[in-house]
Amino acid sequence: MNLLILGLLPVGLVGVVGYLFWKLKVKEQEIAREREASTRQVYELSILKELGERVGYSLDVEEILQIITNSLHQFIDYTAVAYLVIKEKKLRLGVHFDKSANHKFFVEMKEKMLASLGALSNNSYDKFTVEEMVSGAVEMETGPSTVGSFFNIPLVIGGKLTGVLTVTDVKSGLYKEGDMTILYKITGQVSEAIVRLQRVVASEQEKIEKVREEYTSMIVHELRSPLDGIRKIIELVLSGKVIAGSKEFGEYISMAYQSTSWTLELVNDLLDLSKLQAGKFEVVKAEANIKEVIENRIAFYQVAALAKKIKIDFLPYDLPESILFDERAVKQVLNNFISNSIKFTGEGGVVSVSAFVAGGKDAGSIPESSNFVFPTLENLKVKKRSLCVVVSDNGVGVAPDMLPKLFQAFKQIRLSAEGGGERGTGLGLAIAKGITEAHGGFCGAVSKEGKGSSFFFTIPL
Amino acid sequence: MKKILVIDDDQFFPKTLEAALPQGAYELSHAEDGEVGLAKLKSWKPDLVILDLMMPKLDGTAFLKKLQESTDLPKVPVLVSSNLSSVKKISDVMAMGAVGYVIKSDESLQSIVQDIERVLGENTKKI
Repeated sequence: MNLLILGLLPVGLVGVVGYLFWKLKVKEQEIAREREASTRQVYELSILKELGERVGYSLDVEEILQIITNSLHQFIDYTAVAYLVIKEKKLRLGVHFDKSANHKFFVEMKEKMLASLGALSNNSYDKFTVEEMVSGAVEMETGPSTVGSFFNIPLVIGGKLTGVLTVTDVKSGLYKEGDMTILYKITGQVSEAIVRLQRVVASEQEKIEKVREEYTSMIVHELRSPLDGIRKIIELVLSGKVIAGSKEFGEYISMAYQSTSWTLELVNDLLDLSKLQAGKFEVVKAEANIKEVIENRIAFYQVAALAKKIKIDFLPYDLPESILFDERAVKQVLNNFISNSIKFTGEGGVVSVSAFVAGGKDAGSIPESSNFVFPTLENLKVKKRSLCVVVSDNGVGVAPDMLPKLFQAFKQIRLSAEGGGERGTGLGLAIAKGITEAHGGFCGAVSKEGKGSSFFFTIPL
Repeated sequence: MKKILVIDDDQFFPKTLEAALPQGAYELSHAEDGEVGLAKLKSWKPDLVILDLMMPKLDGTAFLKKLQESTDLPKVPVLVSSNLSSVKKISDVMAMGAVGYVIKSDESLQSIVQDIERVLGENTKKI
């Protein structure tokens, strides 16, 4: 009995050990599988991330294939990985050798790839020249010379076959379905990304082209109109329908004068704007007294304001003696703000110019203004200590959806034509914005329909 | 006397056109945008409309569309006169029923007057 037990014991032990060993083996396989799966996932993620970043600004299929082929070794073993892409009347073959192989191996691989591409596209590529690019391990005279394992992934972009991606090894029976699936997935994603990007690029180009066309036809229209007006007036005089010295003649001459001034103003504004857009608008900063500059501009517009019985107030708050800015350019901004305010304010209205320092650590507060729609610190967007100049009026005000458009070139032109008699080029605010930005500042407006508007600019001190 | 309604935000064009038209043959009225134009079309009943395209409030294209869709607005020949010269714009406007398109800066006042006389002459024959 004891002997029997003793005799069976080793058998049992072997059994238990065997069972444990088997169990361990299964576990090991599981772990290996899991590890493999996670490696793949990590690879997939990393390559997709890299592709996402690089495809973001590349439409070059070859460049994208290079990224894939250069990073493939992270998860798959191979002798060589290659791509073959169709480029008009040429084929481009890119091969990367991970391990050395014989030249015969290269030739066989190339033939297999050409055959696959031909079969996939139902086309013959015999007449095509093949440009080759080989990198990685060197070719050897003696090394392995036949292709053992081989698989192809077709590269289809926008429904069109553009090439094949191939993985090869000298050993046979290497590649499983899983390896192919992952490559399918990656090339699929790449293809989608490229198609998406191509669409975006095409539609963006269309949009830009449309905006450019509209802009040009607008400029042409605005230049033609006053010039044509002048010519038609001259035509009347030449034809004898309007006689020199008559009352009408005087009227027509003054119309021609207005048209000429308007054309000149438009040409000057266009010139400024194109300089600003090209980044060639030169801001020549010098120390100057901003208070005096504003006073000077207000004095200049007093006559126009008086004609409409409009009062212009100036409210300076603790301004520094001198500030670094381009006097000529800032005058241009002030001209635009003040003349607009006068234009859009009814008879007997008030235009008020406030100048103060705000922003930074010792932020100084914004002056109280209950009479006007006045900007807040947030509206002014002052991060650093800055000079803030605000031109407020109790005029017609601007609709909220129109406000941001005012600062875009040519958006305002129709609006200004409504402002009674006087016209603006519609470019003034776009130019003011450019000038302020060239000073490192901000230019904007707040408004309430029926209550009035404030246009402002800031210059960091 | 034939009545001509000029719908144009340019103040000068109707003045020069009026001076160029043969005296005593036409009566001219001016509307500074499409909205005023629509109102004058109903109340003044012109024989011809000379329509600008780029105008505030209601532009020329929108004016033509209203005219096309409306059942109660009088059917009046519309001669478009603008400084816009894109081929697309011209064909769009013609498709909307305009009887002609004049690129202002390409034509003299004299030739615009001839266009007006041609359109009004044809229109009289039809009636």
